[in-house]
Amino acid sequence: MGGLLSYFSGLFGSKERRILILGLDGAGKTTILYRLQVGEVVTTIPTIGFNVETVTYKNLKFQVWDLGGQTSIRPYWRCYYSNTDAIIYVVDSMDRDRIGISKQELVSMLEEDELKKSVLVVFANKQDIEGAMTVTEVANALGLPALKNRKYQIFKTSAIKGEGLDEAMEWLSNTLIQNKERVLVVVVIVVVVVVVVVIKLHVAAKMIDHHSTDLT
Amino acid sequence: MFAKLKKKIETDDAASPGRIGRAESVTSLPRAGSTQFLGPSPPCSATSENPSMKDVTVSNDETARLLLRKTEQCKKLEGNISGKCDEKNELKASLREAESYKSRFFKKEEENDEFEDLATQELAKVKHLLINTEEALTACRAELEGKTRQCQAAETQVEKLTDELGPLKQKLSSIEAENVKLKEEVNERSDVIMMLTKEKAAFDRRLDELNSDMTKKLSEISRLEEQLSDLDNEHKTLLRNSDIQRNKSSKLLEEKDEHIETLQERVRTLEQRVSNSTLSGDDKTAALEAERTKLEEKLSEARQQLTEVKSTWSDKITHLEHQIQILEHEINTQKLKAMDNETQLRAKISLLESELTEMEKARQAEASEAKSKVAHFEGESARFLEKELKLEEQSRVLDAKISKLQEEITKKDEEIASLKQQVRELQSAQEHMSSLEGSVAEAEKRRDEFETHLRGSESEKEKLLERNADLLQQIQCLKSSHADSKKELQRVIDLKTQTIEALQKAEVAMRQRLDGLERQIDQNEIVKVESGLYSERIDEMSATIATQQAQLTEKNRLLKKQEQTLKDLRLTLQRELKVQALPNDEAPEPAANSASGGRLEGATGAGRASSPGFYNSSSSSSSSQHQQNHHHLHHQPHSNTNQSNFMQGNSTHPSASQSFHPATSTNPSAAVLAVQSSSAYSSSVVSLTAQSPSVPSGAQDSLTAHTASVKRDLDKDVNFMYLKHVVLKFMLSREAEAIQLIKAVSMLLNFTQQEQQLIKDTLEWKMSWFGHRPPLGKGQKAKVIPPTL
Repeated sequence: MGGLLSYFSGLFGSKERRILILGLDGAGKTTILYRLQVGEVVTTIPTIGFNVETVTYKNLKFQVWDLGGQTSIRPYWRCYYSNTDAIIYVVDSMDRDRIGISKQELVSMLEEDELKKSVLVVFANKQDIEGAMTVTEVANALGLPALKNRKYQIFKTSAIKGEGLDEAMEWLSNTLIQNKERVLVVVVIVVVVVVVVVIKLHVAAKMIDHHSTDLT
Repeated sequence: MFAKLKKKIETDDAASPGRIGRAESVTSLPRAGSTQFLGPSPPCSATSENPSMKDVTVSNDETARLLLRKTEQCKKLEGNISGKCDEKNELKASLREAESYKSRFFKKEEENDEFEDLATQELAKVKHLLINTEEALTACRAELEGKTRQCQAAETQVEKLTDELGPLKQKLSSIEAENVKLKEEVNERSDVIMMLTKEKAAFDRRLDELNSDMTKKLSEISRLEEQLSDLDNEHKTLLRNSDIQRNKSSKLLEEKDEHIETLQERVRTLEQRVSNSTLSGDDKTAALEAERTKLEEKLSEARQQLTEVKSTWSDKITHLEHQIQILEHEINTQKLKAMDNETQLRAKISLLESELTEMEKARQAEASEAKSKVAHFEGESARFLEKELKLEEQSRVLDAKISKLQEEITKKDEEIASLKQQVRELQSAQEHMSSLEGSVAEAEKRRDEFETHLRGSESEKEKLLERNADLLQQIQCLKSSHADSKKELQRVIDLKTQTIEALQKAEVAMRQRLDGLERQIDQNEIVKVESGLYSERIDEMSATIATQQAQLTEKNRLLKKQEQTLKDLRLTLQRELKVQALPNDEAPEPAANSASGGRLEGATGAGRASSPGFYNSSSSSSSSQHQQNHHHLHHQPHSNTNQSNFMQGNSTHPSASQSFHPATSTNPSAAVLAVQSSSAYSSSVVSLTAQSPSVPSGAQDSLTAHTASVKRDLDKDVNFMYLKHVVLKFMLSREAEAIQLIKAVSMLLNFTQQEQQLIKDTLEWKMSWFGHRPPLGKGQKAKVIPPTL
């Protein structure tokens, strides 16, 4: 019963969406997280662990999880996958050497069952640096065109300059709202049907009562 | 030299044709061909031989003599020839030398020729350049001369012009004087003009006064006219009033007459009535009829009267009309009179006007006179002005001429200056040439410098490359050494594994032997049962079995020790690989040190008399090796203590061992810190404790130190840091948030699925308002601290 209640409250917008920010170490995940939250560039240290912040965007609350991306702690990502609405996958556009590793991590992540329904947003970060890979280069290197059965979008961003983050969040919020709306319509229909059935049953019960009282 | 040689040859040829011919003929008689070649010799030989053919016998002696002589001659000639040959060789050598000299000479000559050609070419070039430069110079000079001539001409012109300038200046001064005079005249004239203008102003003022008089008079006339019109109006109104009054009075009179008549009639009628009232009816009617007739009569009379009145009225109207006409006539006459008055007034006005016009005319005449005067003066002034202008123009023309001349002078000056400048430019060009040459030389020098610099930089680059190569080599060396160390460690591990395998094999063999022995025992027992004779052998066998079992246990223990050391080695290897750069410099933690020291002191008090060697060995081995080597610490103290304990395990007092247990239990940090140590490690410890209770004291003694170092290493380990971070967040977060971290914590701490579920259920129970607490076990298996409520 409580679960159902919480589900409904979640549907009607009071509960926040769960978003993971993933990517290799040094891609700029923590910078993006705090840029989204406070709108400023903060000095960061390598994240051994995770950071969680609540970000509000257009009346939508996002609980954003920024997980450390170092090689030895990457296996722990899978502990955080459940109930995730969206994944923000951050790629360092300057790091041509490790884009292959980034692709492997992305592919293995997307194969997880818990993430089958979550939306994917790829940030081709560090676009402010000269000589960075373009969006199409990053998309091809990550093998995004081969993705099936997944809503995804790639954005070119610069966390330092704050470029591209707004567009990405706009797209993400719109996509999440659409998803929720579809589910909401279905749920509303189901609820209406249930209510109608309950009322009918009630009426029938009353009728039976009447009959029984009449009989007595 | 050659000439001499030639001469010699010639003289030789001239002196010895015959000899040579003879020699030839003697030496080469059989050869017919050769005789043909010796042109000058055949006659001689022919003459000597042909007759000899005829009388051979006669002159045999002679011939013999001759032959002898000839042979002598021949010998001589041969000697000569040999000498000649030597000479010839010498000559040939000299000839060769000469030829070489000659060739060299020719070469030299050719070179000389070439040099000469080059020199001549160079000379020609130089000459050409010289000629060119001379030509240029002459041209320049000619130009310069022309320029100087021009300069001179210009200077003469300038002088002429300056000469001309003198009279022109004089003229200018005279003209200026005239100009001054004319200006004075102009001033006088302007004074006169001023006076005239003043008079004119006075006349104007008088004219204004006259005009004002005239306007006053005109206003008077208009007033008079107004008075006249007013009088006319009064007159007319009076006439009309009188007429009206007259009419009114006449009307009143007539009305009174009529009233009187009507009253009289009435009186009459009333008198009749009064007379009639006395009469009877018929009479009355008669009277009334009479009355009626009378009244009818009266009516007709009245009608007649009315017609009369009408006629009178028409008469009256006509009369009135007449009167009106009369009045009109009168009015006309009055009008005429007024007209007359008006005409008079108008005449007066016209008179006044004429006067005025006359006045105006006079004024105009005066004005015209003044104007003409003014015009005259103005004309005069204009003429003066014209004169002035002319003079000014003249002066201007003169000025222009002067300026032109000055301009010409300046031009000439400029020309001179330009010529000088050209001369200077030529000089400067020459200087520039020289400076350019200097700069070229400088540039060459700089280029040389640059080249030297380049060479220096190249050498630097090479040095850097060398250094780079050295560094690379160093890196490779380091890598190789790293690999070597790895290999060594690997080798050690391999060795250990081999020993373990060997031991295992030995164990297996032992087991097999044991099995065999047991089987033997069985057989023996069977045999014993059967025969009952082999009791002694059986005893022996059992003794051997016991010894074998003891050996086996020993081997097992050894095996376990080896495994433990192997694991330690692995750990150290991993740590070394992880933290290779970090030096192992620190001493063990002071807390651990003091704990061990305290414990040792306490222990010595209890059991020094019983087994001092044990303590000494354990303490010294642990502490000394601690300080000696940090690496070996992990396994060597273990083995040492183990061995020592094992060796002296039987002789140790139970009290001593008991006294050790509290000491170890007072050090709970060891258990806490051993969290991260591998399970195998702990199992080995457990097994050791199970076997001999005194062993773990020594093992844990070293374990505390070991765990301290492990702890220090762990602090640097990313996984441990991650664990710490996640667990801290899990503990500090609210239940709703912490529930999301259960998976991570479970994975980090290797929780089972049940444990994970238990945590989850507990958290959900804490979050919810209702529900039961999940079962957490009781007693020893309880997973929660029971509430103290």
